[in-house]
Formats: sequence, structure tokens, C-alpha cells
Amino acid sequence: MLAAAMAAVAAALFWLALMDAVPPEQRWMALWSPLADDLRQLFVHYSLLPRLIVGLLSGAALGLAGALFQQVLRNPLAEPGTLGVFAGAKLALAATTLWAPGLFGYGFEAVAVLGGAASMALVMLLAWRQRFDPLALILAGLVVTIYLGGINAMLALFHQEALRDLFVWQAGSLNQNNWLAVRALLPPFVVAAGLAALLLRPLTVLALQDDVARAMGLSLSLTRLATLGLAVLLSALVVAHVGVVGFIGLAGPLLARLSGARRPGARLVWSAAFGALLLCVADQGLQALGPALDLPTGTMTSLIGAGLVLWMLPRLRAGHDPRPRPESGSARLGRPWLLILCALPVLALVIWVALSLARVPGGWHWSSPAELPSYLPWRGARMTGALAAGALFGLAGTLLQRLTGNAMASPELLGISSGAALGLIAVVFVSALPTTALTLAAATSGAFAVLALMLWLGRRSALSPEHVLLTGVALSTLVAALTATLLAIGDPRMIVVLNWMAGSTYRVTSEQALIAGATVASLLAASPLMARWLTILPLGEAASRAVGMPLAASRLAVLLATALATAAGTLIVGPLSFVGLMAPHAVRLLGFRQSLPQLVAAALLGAVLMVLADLAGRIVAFPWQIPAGLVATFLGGSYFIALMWRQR
Amino acid sequence: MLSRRTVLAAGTAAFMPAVALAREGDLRIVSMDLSFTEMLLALGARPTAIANVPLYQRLVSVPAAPADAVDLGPLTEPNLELLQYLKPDLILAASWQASALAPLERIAPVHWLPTFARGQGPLDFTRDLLARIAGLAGREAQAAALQGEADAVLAEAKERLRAQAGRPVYLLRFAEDGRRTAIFGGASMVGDVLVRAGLRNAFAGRANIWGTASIGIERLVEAPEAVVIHFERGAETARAMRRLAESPIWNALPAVRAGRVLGMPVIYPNGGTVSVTRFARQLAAVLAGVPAAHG
Repeated sequence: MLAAAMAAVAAALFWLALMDAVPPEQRWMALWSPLADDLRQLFVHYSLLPRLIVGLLSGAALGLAGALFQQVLRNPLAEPGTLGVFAGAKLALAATTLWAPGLFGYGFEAVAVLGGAASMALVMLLAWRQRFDPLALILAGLVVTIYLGGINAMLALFHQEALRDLFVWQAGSLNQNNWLAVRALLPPFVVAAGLAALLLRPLTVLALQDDVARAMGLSLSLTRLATLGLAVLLSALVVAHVGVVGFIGLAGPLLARLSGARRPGARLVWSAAFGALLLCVADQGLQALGPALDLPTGTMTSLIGAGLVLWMLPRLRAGHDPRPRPESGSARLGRPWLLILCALPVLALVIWVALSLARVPGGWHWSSPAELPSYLPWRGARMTGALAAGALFGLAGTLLQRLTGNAMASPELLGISSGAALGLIAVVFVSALPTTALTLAAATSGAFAVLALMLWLGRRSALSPEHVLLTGVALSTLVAALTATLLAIGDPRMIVVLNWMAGSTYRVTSEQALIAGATVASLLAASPLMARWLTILPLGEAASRAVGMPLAASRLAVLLATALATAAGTLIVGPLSFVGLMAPHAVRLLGFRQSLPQLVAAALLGAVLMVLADLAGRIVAFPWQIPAGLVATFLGGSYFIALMWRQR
Repeated sequence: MLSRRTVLAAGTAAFMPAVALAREGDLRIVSMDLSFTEMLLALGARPTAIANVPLYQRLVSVPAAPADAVDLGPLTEPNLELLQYLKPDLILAASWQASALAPLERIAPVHWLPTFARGQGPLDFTRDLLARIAGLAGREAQAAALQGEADAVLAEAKERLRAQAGRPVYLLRFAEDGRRTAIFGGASMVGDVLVRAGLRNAFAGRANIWGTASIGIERLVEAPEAVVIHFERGAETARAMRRLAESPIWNALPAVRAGRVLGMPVIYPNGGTVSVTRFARQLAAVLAGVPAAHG
């Protein structure tokens, strides 16, 4: 029913475009055998029609890829975007554009497929230890997406002009002027569909538990690998031809499931069908709106998709209780407070260096205390801001990891920072030259709007960690799509937003730094009140109920504190940075197990890391500057990936 | 201040700055935007420091940036600490940077100059901007000469293109994928030169404040009689042309069939007076070889 309605809408929109293009009596001719010198007929045959078919094919490929991913990973949220395939393909294309453009002489496919496969492999590696637990896998995908997105953002900052064309079509643009894309996409799609049909039986068995499947004599790893490879190939091919089209791989299978496709075979077919129709409706709709709204189709699907995910969140079952993780790392510290005390001089030293060290043309320069005042306007506010933001992310990360009982949780994944980013993007779209006060207000209200949304969505599931984190997934994908659009527009005022999104402390004012500092102080002051909850929450719902703790109320309080810390920190260093992930994690490895010392130590470590990141960003590429958030993303992402590698 | 500097790093003082300073008595001017840089250099008022030298060289390139000009980093985040260290006398910054770069005022007097025409044609805007910058740099005579040359070259171009008057022209740059182009409308400098030279801009669609838009190749069918003039970017353009050659729509365009697709060296579409002169010359030269307008 739904499928028929969507098909009707798509067909009607295409018919409108066709009527607009050529006189009625020429329609069939224009579609199938255009006159070689009639431009309007050629336009229909070589642009309108292939665009329709490329839309259908790409949508079907993404829908099928999503269904394959979901089937093999037993994860309703797996799709090329959430698994990092898109991010890898995108980065590979950008890097090739800059350093080996000659490779494109052979087409974009190989580069995109290699990049997508590499990042997908990384994601799998990260989720290995948790046996591809659905949530862990999505989190790993998000981490890799943010990490690679950070590198991409860095390339964009330094080579904005050289990469603009790439960003334009990477934002998901379906324009066609020949049948090449159709010819390139159709055979792999047909082959892949055939292979998927062959994999159907093993896949059906895979849907059972591992041990059952193994008992039936199925080579689990081989089937998994083949299916994943197939799905990666399909999605990367789409990226190579039309760019990143978000959420189709999620929405197709979802609609298939909602329409009652139960058996794996039916599910694959209907996922592809719905994917095709969805993309087609979105693309034909955009075309019908005319050139006035020349948004990339990928942005459109991400807007629709993010809404779809948020809408389906309450309908997802509240998932399993996160298992308490066996503590790893060194032994528990005997005297955590003593170590914290010893760390204070380190912080002081780092601050001193960050204020005094600089590069000048041709060398280095160390400011003596006497001349520091003349440099404080340039270094003071950003250093203080970075310090406070690092501490805030350390706090937010600890709170979040304790709240969800998941060591991979971090404030970026909560979506609060994405909310702040959305507020800022909105204000730049509306006002030509927004004032600092306006951007501040917009970012803050964006952050709190996300919080409110999350509380409302999570009211029935008592704020279950899955729901909270999935909101984050939806929102960060949406922000990524909007960022891609901003890059494509290429207005220099947008670069201000992009710089902030990359985590630049360049524009931090002393008022902003002071506000962030005050937030740190008040959260630290309030932390003893939360200490008991934070000790019990990671043990899971059952344990919490057993000791008579008000689950929803305590979660709400911790969540509010997390949101406040994230919003205040994000305003300073942008939505990226893995400090919130790294600091609490490293501190726990050091042996901080009790909640209160862990909070304080994570804040301290976060502050040190962010100040160092800011200093490095100021110095490494002098006179250019690398945003502190990006440096921190590298540090944090690399730390995280190295850690996973070692513990594998 | 310099004398009190304590120098760290390897314990030597040998790497202290070797910044080439402008001649004694010259104003130490700093430019924060590409078109200001172009105008300063054309006026012979060598800027002490320039925001984003690599971008200037890539997009504008004439007059060449002096090798010893200090690069201040990106247009959006110039290195202010470095700028303070260079002790400039005067800073030229774009008005779109004003909200973000307000702290520039602490370093030296700042002139916030517009970078796009609002309510006036781009060429009139460029003329006013050149006069303003020349006034600030004390180079009025050079400005008059530059402007005179630009006006003369433009008039000459119009004369040479008399036979082509009213001819529609698409002005664009092909994207590497052969599916899209960056196309320049009337609000861009090059678009205005086109019209002043007696031609007609075939693209009248929506564009950003600089007069640039990104459109699909298939939309070029909207003005079949147009000449297509594109900016050549070497290997990148060559790859785009190879992909275009596979497009039946592209191959069916009358401009393509009649060989009316003309390449020319890159001009910064919103450059200053030198860019105006260069573009007018190139326009006349490239169109001179095309048979007069269709019958």
C-alpha cells in the first residue's frame, strides 16, 4: 500500500517534469528515441530519465545494503552511514582529489570502495571485543565517522577551494547528463542482488543465535564476511556516483519491516524497493521545487531520515539492560585523591607553557612574565576556554559512561553538541552577519532543545541508554549532512561556522571562557550529590532498582548535568573532540574506580588534554592554526583505536 | 619590545625573525582579503603581510605575491598574534570579517571595506574600492593610471566585439566530475565585464552574493545559442572535458557542435582592477576568433 502510494507520487512528479520539458506529442519519443538535434528531447532522454533511474538504482542499492548489514549484524540501525562506510569513502575521495587526482582518470569507484571498506573494517575491529553487540557497533561506527569526519574537516579548512567541487557532489547530487552512471550502477547491482539471493539461506540461519547456526554447519565468519563485503561494495558504489545519500539504508529496511516483511528474502526485496522509492520521491520532489531550492538530494534524505529515526525511537523496544563490563586496566588506586593533588602542578605547568610559548617567523619565542600581558589578549581567553571545555567534556564523559554503563559513550554521541551546532547553523542561515550574543543564544537553545526532545522521547523507556544514544546518532548524521551542504555553498561566512564546528578556539572571548569556567566550578561542587547514583547506575537497571534508587529521577539529574557540561564545552570548542571519551576512560585505566575521584580526575585530565591540543594547534602549522577540537579528535580517536587494537 | 624578547628553543638566537620589511617611510599595510591584496600589489603598495598567500596565488596570481610577504593564515582566522608582532600601520579587512575579527582594532587602525557590490554594478564597485584603497595607501596617481588602463581595455574590447554585440555567453568553470559547473552571473565582476563589453550573460538564475552558482550541465540547454567560455584549470579541466565528451546532452549543445566552447586562463571572478583588465583582454581575444553572431 505504502509502496504503491510512493510509487504513484514519484511517477506523478516525474510526469510533471516531463510535461514541463517537452510538448505532449513528443513525450514518448523524447523518452525513448530523442531526435539528435532537439535539445529538449535530449534533455528528457539523457538527464530526466537517467536521473530517475539513477535515483531508483541508488536507493535500491542502499536499501539492499542496509538490509544486508542489518541481517548479518542483527542490528536494526546498521546502514552504510552508521557503520562508517560513507565517512571512509568520502575521506578517500577528498584525499585523492588533493594528492593523487590522476587516479580519478580511472573513475571514482575504486577509491570510494577502498575507503569505505577500510573504515568499515576499522569499525568491525573496534566492535570485535564486544562481539558486535548492536549498540557497541553503532557507537564504533559513530566514533569512526567522527574521527574520519574530523580529518575531512581539516582538509576542508586548508584546501576549501580545491575541494569545493567534490563537496558539491558528495553532498548527494543526482544530476545526470548521460547514461554512464546507470550503466555503471546497474550491472553491479544486478550481480549483488543475485549474490544476495544466494546468501539468503545462510542469512536466514544467521538470524538465529550463533551456536544454533554453527550447529547447522554454517561457516559463520565466511557468510558474514561475504555479506558485509557485498553491502560495502553496494554503498561505496553509490557514493562514487552520486555522493553520500544518508539514511536510505536505514529507512528502506525500516519501512519494509513496518509493512510486514518478515522473512529474510521478502525483507531484502522490500528494503531495496522502499529504498528506491524513498530516494526517488525525495529527488523528484526536489526537482519539482525547481532550481530555487537547489539543495543536494543527500541533505534532503538526511533531513527526512533523521526525523524518521526520532519518530521510530519510542517504537523500538527499550533494548537490553547494558551488562556491567568487567573492569580492565591496572589495579584500583589506594589513594586517588593524593594522585589528583600531585597532578595539579602538572596542570599549572601546562598552563604556563601554553601562555608563554609561541612561534614567530623563522623561530620560536618564549614570553617572559613581563611581556605576557601584551600577549594575553591572544592567548588568555582561548587557553582558559580550552581548559574549561576540556574539564567540561571530562565531566560529561564520566557522567555519560557511568549513566550508560558503556565505556564507549561520550558527549558527542549524546547529540547535545549536534543540537548546539544546529542552532548555530540556523542562525547563520537566517541572519547575514550574526552577532556573538546571537550565536551564543542560538547554540545554547539548540543544545537544550535536543535535551528536551531526548527527555520527551525517553519518557516511556525511563531514559534508556540506547534511546539516548540513538538520538545522538540521528542528530549527528543530520549535522554532518548540513555541514556538507554548507561546504558545498562555499559562502565565506559559512566558514566561520565550519571553523567553530572543527573546534576552533580562535574566537573565544574572555566572557565565554569565564562562563565555561563557572560551569566547571558549579558542576564540580554538585558532584558529591551525584556520587552514589554514579556508583550504582553502571550496574544496570536491576541493581539500581534492587537498592531502591529512583531510576528515572537519578537518570534525569545526571543527564541534565551532562547536557549542561556538553553545551558549555561545545560552545567553546565545537561539537567534535574525543576528550569526553578519552579522559574518563584513561582515568579509569589509571585505577580511578570510585565515582567522585574519577569525575575530578577526568576533569583534570580533560583540561590538560584540551590545553595541550590548543597549544599544538597554535604552533604546529604556524602561521596557520589547527582547531583545538580537531587536534583533540585526532588524539582521542587515535587513543581509542589504539586501545581497541591492543585489547582485541 | 623586540630587545626584551627571551628566546627559547635550542638556546640560540639565530632564528630570530628575518621578516623583510617594506622600505623605510612606507606604510606597513596588511591585507585580509584577496581583492584588497590584488589592488595593493597593483598599486605598488607592497603589503607587509597577506592573509592566505596560497589561496591568493591559486585564485588571483597576477600581480604575483612577493616572496617575502608574510602569510597570516586563512582569511577567517588570520594569526593575530603574528600580526601584532609585525606592528602594521594599517589593516584592510573585509566587512564580512568584521564580526569575527573585531580584535584587529587592538593592533592597528582597521578599514573595513566591502567585498561585494550591493546596489551598484560590480565594476562601479571595483572602481570605488580601488580609489578608497589608493587613498589609504597614498597612491592616487597609480590608481588613476590603473583605472584608466582598465577603462581603455574595456572600451577596446567592446569595440573589437562589436560584431558580437548582444551575443549570449555562459561564463563558467567545469567541475571535475563533468556533471556540474560553477557558473558566474551578473553580480560577479566577470559577469559585469561581459555585459559592459556588449555581450549578454546567458545565465540569469539564482546565485550567491558573489554572483556564483553551482548548476548541472544539463541546464546549459536553456540558452542553446550561447557561447560557452570556461576557465582552464589544467589537468582538472582536462578530466572534466573527457567526461563531458561522453555526454550526449553536452555533445548536442549547439555551442559544442559549432566549436563555440572557449577556454581561457583563470581569472578570479571577483578580482580587482587588474583582473578586470586581464579578463576584458582575454574576452576580446578569445571571442575575436569566433564567427560573428548566428544569423
